[in-house]
Amino acid sequence: MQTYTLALAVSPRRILAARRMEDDIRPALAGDALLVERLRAIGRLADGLAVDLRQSLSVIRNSIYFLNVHLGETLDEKVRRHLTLMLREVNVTNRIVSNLVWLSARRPPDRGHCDVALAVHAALSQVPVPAGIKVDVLTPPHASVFSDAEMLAAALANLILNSVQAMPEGGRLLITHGEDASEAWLTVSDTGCGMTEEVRRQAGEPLFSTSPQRAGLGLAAVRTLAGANGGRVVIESRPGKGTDVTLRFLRPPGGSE
Amino acid sequence: MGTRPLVLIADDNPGMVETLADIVAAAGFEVDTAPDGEAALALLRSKRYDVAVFDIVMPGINGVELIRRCRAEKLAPRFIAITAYTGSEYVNEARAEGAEAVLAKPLDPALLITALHGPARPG
Repeated sequence: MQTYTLALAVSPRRILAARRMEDDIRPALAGDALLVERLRAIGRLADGLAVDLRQSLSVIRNSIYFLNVHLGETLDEKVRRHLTLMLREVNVTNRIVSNLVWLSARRPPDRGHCDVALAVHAALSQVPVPAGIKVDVLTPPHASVFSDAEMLAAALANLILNSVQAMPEGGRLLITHGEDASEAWLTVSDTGCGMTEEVRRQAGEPLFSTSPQRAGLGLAAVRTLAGANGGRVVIESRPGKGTDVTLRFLRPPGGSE
Repeated sequence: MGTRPLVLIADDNPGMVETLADIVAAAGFEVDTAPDGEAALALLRSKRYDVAVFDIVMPGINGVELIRRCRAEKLAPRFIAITAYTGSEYVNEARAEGAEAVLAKPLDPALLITALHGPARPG
């Protein structure tokens, strides 16, 4: 509380509303052998589970599609709603499976200049956003970050899903891009419930979650994906106001876009 | 000879075969199914299929080997691969052997239907 008051005096607007946790992935992973081994153990199990789970999810998704097509106009709103809920949970489960696979980090990144618009589009296509959430993508034309394209989309999809889950009553999802001489970054911001300092400190740990229904792999996968691409994750959050998560990537030597 | 395109669906997951067959038939195609690569190859030798949709990893003859044998025997439907293994080596191998699309499970059935309606078979 003392520190908070002092920060308020130094920089009223931003520091009053935000607290900052910066997480440089590579030194953290290099210095945390236990974390690395935990992630590898999860990954070994994940590879086998992923295939079996995706087979079952595929059959369920097929059946939902068939019922929607076959019953079509005859469906009443309640039945249609149940099918929508089923499809949503299939997509969420598939994301959990994908996160388990990413945590195994078996595939080396194929890094290049990733078009931000394409990456955001790919990510948004993986995460259904409810109608009550306004999505604003404010990125300049031809903006890019240096990363593996598939990993970047997977990281963004996780962040978008987290933001959506933080706004059960609706809100605003904002995606922005920035760059300086050494880094380019993407920020996913929401107007959701935000995090306390304690939660923020633990966010990104595998299997940490504030939701009793979720095991908490999303931010851990984001950290792994960012780190594999020479990047880092910066989380700023304001309890009750919202959260900004920034993926910062080094620009390549010679840096030109 | 029917006027609807003929599709073969091969997968060792019975639920996958049944649900995809229903979806593809409802989209206006004629459909045959096979539970593995050997049965798929036997059907491909017996009829002229427009499209073969197959799981890449199957016991016995897998999807990539299926394409190779079809090419060797000049059986040439269009090939669409589906897979729960999203490691790039499976995708790359299937594409290198001639699969025009590789769809990841759980696949979006609408994307499969779009792929089935793809370019017309040459000559």
